[in-house]
Amino acid sequence: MTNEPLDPIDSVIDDVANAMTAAPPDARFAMRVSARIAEAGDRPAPWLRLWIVVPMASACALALAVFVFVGRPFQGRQGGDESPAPQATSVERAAQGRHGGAERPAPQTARLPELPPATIEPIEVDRLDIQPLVQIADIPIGAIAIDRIEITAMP
Amino acid sequence: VSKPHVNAGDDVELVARACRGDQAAFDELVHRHQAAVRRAALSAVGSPADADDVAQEAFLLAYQRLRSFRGDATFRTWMLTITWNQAMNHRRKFGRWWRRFVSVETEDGAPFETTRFASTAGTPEEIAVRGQMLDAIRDAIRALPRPLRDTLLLAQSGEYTYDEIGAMVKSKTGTIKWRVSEARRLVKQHLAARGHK
Repeated sequence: MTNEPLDPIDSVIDDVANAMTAAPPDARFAMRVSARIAEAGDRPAPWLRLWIVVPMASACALALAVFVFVGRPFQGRQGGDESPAPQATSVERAAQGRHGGAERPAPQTARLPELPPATIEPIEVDRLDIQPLVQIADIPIGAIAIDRIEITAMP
Repeated sequence: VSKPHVNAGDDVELVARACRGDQAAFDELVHRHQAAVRRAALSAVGSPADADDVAQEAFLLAYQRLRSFRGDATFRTWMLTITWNQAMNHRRKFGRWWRRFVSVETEDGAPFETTRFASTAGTPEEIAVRGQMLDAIRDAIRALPRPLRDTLLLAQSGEYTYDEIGAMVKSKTGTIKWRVSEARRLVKQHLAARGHK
């Protein structure tokens, strides 16, 4: 503790605090810990437990299904496109020559469907009526009638 | 504050044997440190039953992480730190520290502090006044802010050095000393406000 002299009440406080955490010895505690360790050892690793494995497997299956479903139309387009490969440009031919391009497959490009030319109809407007936002009414101001003004002499 | 405890060097040897699968070596570590671990848990969670759960969880966790013990601190300090973390998790999880602490009783059903300090010396009036003061001290300790209350209970348990308490609650030794002193001051202030001298 500290070297400071303790107030007599301090030692009472310390004794009460000590009593609040006093735990009687438990001879079976070590046995219970051993049992818990043995029990934990028999159980599968946390990541192998059923409630973890099942959701993980489901998520993986779902992700795989989404991947296959999304990838199929793209593969179909690539596989079903029987149009001839476009002619390689002179730059591509030169590159193929440098890298032994004779063995490389010609790049395949998917053709986009032709769209009709876009036509934009003009917007016809007959007339625009704009109403004033604020209407100001006349404010009548009447004359102020003054009968008489009396002015007293200043002292 | 510190109590003499087993040689830390022996603990290292026991840890090494336990890492090699020697269950008896780990049992010996449990036997050596269970008192300190259970008391630390009781300081944090208040209820002996909850403290036992926390202590068991702490030893189980220590067993599972035994290979990560590098020996930077003693096994006892490492174990106490795990215990305190487990106790804080328990406290957060259940949030019933206060209620459980209030319900702590001895085996015969009487509030344990009253039993411990019960004295037949003096007149009945003096005995009653003494009992009231002990109750007031206990209430004042319960009402302390958690950092002060935790530190006071750990320090006055007589099980730990200030350094060990600092390692547990992740504070410097100077802070621990200040907290103990401040906790005492607030308890005395509480008593004075209630007319106890």
